[in-house]
Order: sequence, then structure tokens, then C-alpha cells
Amino acid sequence: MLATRYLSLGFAFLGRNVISFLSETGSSLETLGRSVRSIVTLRCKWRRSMDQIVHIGVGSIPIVTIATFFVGMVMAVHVSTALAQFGVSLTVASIVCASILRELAPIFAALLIAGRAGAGITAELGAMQISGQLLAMRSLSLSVEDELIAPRFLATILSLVSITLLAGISGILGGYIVGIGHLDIPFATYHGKTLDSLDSLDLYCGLFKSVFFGLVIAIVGCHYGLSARGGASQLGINTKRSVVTASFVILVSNFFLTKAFIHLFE
Amino acid sequence: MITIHDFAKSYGDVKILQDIELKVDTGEALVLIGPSGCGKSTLLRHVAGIEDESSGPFSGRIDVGDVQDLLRWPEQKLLHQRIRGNRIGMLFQEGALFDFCNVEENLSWPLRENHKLSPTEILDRIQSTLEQVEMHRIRGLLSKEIRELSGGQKRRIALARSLLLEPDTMLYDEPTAGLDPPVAMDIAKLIRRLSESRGLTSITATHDMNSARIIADRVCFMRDGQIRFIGRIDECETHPEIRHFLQGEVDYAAQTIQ
Repeated sequence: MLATRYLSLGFAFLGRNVISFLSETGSSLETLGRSVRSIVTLRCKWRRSMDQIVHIGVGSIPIVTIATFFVGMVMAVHVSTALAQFGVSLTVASIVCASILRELAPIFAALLIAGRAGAGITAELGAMQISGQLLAMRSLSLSVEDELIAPRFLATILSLVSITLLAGISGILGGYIVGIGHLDIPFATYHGKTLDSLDSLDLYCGLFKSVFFGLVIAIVGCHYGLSARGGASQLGINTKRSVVTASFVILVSNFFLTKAFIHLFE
Repeated sequence: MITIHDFAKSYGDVKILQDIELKVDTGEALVLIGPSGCGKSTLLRHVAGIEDESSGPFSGRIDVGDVQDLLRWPEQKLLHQRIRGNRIGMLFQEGALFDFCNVEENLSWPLRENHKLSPTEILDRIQSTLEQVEMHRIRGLLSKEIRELSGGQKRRIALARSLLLEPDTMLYDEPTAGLDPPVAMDIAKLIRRLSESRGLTSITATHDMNSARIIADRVCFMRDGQIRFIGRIDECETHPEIRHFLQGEVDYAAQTIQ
């Protein structure tokens, strides 16, 4: 009897969570659909998109480039230690270049932007929702999608693609510093090895990932912002959820994207 | 003219409004009074066309001027035909000004998006509306941030923002809430004056009886999501239920209809 009761409670809990997950996914896809329509039909406000690019993109450049610079250095130190045992230390340049462009730059840039800009999007939209500013916009025939949501989508994606490029350059430079300064590889040799290993496919894979991650950050950030209700505590909870969910989706989807690229191109 | 017929609204299993029948004539100012949570603001948001079914199911019919059966209008049609703002204006509790913009951007943004006007024409309209809400004498007002304004000033700017689109119907949600009595009186008198000079049809939701006396042509008392009284202001004060409400004897625990 007790077992049946616990079983039914378990099913109820599972059911509630599945319904909640499906409802949130549906709502997020609806937000995505409206934003895509706004961008495709050119109703998206370009001036507001530019403001958001400055806010999301330009503001994130220092933290992302510094972080990936050190990631590149750490990568070079680790790889060189392992390669030294086999006497192929010069390969460090190729490995750093490929791993930074294909994996580390898009992932680190996306995680840092999710923490910085994704949380900001949720907090801004959530505060506007709670204080009635979004309702006021509707009452003035101002489209929330065209004025607020679509510009954030556009800005997040464009910013993340540009920042991923910068992060890639910065990470490779970090590798240069270790290779030349610490491993005593001549500049011309390290540089030559890096240029030899530069593959446009690595770059395209990294950039495709950054487009996808930008979309994830924008969808999750906007969804949790627009669904904020109540007061400051709920807004705090939604902001935390936004960062956790976006980071989780980025890390999980990265595995599947990597598998797909390997399957398709190699 | 605003006509509300057999309107009902629920949040989940809780009925918020039911059997709402209301008619406001052209140019008339109706004031909704009643305790907090009785459904005044919910009703106003539906008349403004800014509440959709995602907040809870509703039924009935609302006509605002020649906008027939507003509740059945899809979002895109409302937006495309610019019904909200240009035909039906709304002043929100606390103003709901956009706090990421300064005063000028708050006023010019809706105007720029709704009408094809040159920057000079927009500025002229803003100046003339600021005069009407008695804010034109404040030096450097347009460049001020929203956080620099007092509660009364915010309310006046929000009123100007709504009036700039020249709606013929205005909805005021608690226009004097949170203001000290002299400022609240000033706002109530301003609303009355603007309603008369512009010939606005209006509904004001408030629980401030002093403001209601200034603004109202007629008063509608709501409780437990239902209309309990509609009539002149002098009649309403002798109504037993309203007298209890004014004397602070409303039983809030029994208020929500199940």
C-alpha cells in the first residue's frame, strides 16, 4: 500500500517536471520564432541591436580575451610536458592552434558571455516585466519582440561570433608566449608550425558552434527574463537559472556538435 | 464609448471577475472603486487589450469605441492597427516609465514608432503636452533620468507619454497610489481637467475616495470580482457596502470568490 503511494507520488513528481520542461521548451521556441520573424521581416530595431552589441560584445572583450590568453598558455604547458616525453615538442603549436579554434575559444567565450551577458539579459527583461514596463510597451503599441527581444538575439549571436574569433587569436598568442618564452622554440619555427596547422575547417566549426551557443544564451536569457513574476527574489532565482541552464546546454550540446562535425568532415 | 458585456476572468481555479456588465458613455469618466485585489486592475488591463489568455481564461465581450469585441483581436492585428496607445491609452500604477531611457526618450519613443513625424514635430508635440501636464517649467527636464524624478513627476510624465498618442479613451490604474495627499489631489484634478478638455472617455481604478470625488462622473463599486453598485458619487456614499469599505470594514479573508 505504502509502496503504491510512493510510486504514485514519484510518477506525479516526474509528470510535473516533464510538463514544466515541455512548457518551458515550448515557450522558449515561441520566443525564438517571434524573434526570427522580427529579424527576417526587418522589423527588428537596428539601433537597439547596435546598443546591445556594444553592451554585450564590446563590454565582454577584455574578460574573454584575457581568460582565453591564459587558457592558451595552460594548454601549451600541459601539451608540451606530455610531448617532451616523445621528443615531439614542436607539435605543441599545431595542437594548441586546433584545440583553441575548434573547442576552447567557442566554449570559453560562450560560458563567459552566458555568465556576463545572459544573466544581464534575464535581469533587465525580468526587472522590466516585474515593474510593468513590458505591459506599458504593449499599451503604447511598441512591439516587445522588435524593440527588445530580437535586438538581443542578434547582438548576442554577432557578439559571440566576433568574440570567439578574438578569443581564438588571444588563445593562440598565449601558446606563442609559452612556446617561445618557456619551451625555447624559435619564433620562426613556432610561427611556421602554427600557420601550417591553421585549418579553415577548425575555424568554421568553432564559428558555427559560437552561432549555436549565442542562440542558446539569447533564448534562455530572454525566456527567464520574460517569465519573471513576483519580486526581487524571483528575479534572482531566474537570473541564476538562466546562467546554469545556458551553461549546461552549451556544455552538453558541444559534445554532440563535436561528434557531428567529426562524423561529417573527418 | 466602452461596453463590457458578461465579462468573466479566472486565474487557475480562482474566479477573479464574473458577470461584469458596464457601459461608459463617450466623454464620461467612470471611477472603479473597491478593495485591493477585487479585480479593478485586471479589468482595466483587459479593456486596454494588453492581457491575453496566457494569464488565465476569460469570457464575455468588450467594445471600445468602434473597436468591436476587442478580446478576440489577435495580437498582431492589435499591433498592426495601432489600437493600443493611439485609441486606448493607459496610465499605470507608479507610471511604469522605461528606466533605461531618459525623459525625452520615454516621450519620443512611442511617438516615433507610431507616427511618421520629423524630430522637430516630435519635440513640438512633447513641449505642448508637457505644458498640459504642467511640467514645462522644469529646467533640463528632457535630459533627466527617470530615477531623478519624484513620484508625482513620474506620474505626470507617464500621463504625458500616454496623451502624446492622442487616444480618445484613457484608462488610469491607481493614478494617485503612493503619492502624498496634496500631490494626489493635483494629479486627480489634472486627470479631470484633461478628460474634460480632450473629451476623453475614461475608466479610473482607485481606492482613494478623495480622488474619485474629483475625477468621477459616475462611480462603480466592485467587491469579490463583481460589480455591487453603479451610480453618482453622492449616491454611492450612502450605499451600505461602500460605507463599510470607506470605514475600513472590508473582510479581506472572504474576498476571493471560489
